[in-house]
Amino acid sequence: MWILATAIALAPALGFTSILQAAGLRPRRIPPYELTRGDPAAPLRSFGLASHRSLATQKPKVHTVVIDKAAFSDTPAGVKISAGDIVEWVNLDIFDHTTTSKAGGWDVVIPAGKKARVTMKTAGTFDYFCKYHPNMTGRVAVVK
Amino acid sequence: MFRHISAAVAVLAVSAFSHPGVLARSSTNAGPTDPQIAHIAYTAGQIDIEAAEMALKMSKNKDVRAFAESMVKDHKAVNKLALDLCKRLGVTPEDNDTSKSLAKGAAAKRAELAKLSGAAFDKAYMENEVAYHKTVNGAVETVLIPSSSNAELKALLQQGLKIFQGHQQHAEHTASLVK
Repeated sequence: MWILATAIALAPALGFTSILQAAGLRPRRIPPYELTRGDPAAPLRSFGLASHRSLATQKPKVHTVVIDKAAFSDTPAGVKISAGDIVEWVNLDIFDHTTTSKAGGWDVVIPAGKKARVTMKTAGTFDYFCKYHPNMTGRVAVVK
Repeated sequence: MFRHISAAVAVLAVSAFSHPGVLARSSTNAGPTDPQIAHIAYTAGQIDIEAAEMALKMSKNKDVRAFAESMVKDHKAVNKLALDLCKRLGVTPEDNDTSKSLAKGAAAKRAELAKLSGAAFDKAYMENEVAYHKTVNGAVETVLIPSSSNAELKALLQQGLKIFQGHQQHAEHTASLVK
């Protein structure tokens, strides 16, 4: 039995996913934001079918931040969103900018005239700035 | 370069406030004229583009190169806006003592940087970028913007200043990485 268990556990790493899928044993990828250390109920919720289904059917909202004349439109109030939602930065400037989390969560270039998206997975308040013009700052507040 | 730029800014300040003869627009308003302001702003941008192009040839440091690439892109974009505006307004940028002084200072600094390589170049280039943006931003804020009479030119300088102040912070951060 332990040999089978070990084989199943190692299968994804060894590239045997298709064999497992054929056997009806598809390995599940658990998104890291679902796991909460120190809360005994959390793993149950993460693994629970109801939770999984609701995650699959809930469409994430897209919140837009416009960049114009070297400023983020959400400043100073910040964007308030739910975990799993998306923030989309639309750069109307003729300059390239970045959205860079001060805490290191994300760092994305938004070329002149283009858009970029980041999915906010964890709750918290995140200050961000433009690496190229650090006097441009913004804030995203994510609730569970 | 810092010394040369300071001298250029001093020329600008003096001409703006006490010697209307040098860069005068009229007897009642002693600041540089719009064609002169356009020339000064364009020259200052062009100097920074050339310095950045030199850095892209000389430096292998990824932070320094990222900074330099950003300078080339941004200053080219601002200078294009400035030229387009001049064209639309029928204004011909006019050379002047401040532009000449800026160009002279930049040539001296380029010669100085050309003698360096590796980490010594990176450090000297970044230190100069901090000083250069600090000085030019000061001049844009206290002399060029208040002296400009055309509303669109003023707006362009104000927008440029926000970007250039960002460059100063970016330069300070990058300089701290190559100390």
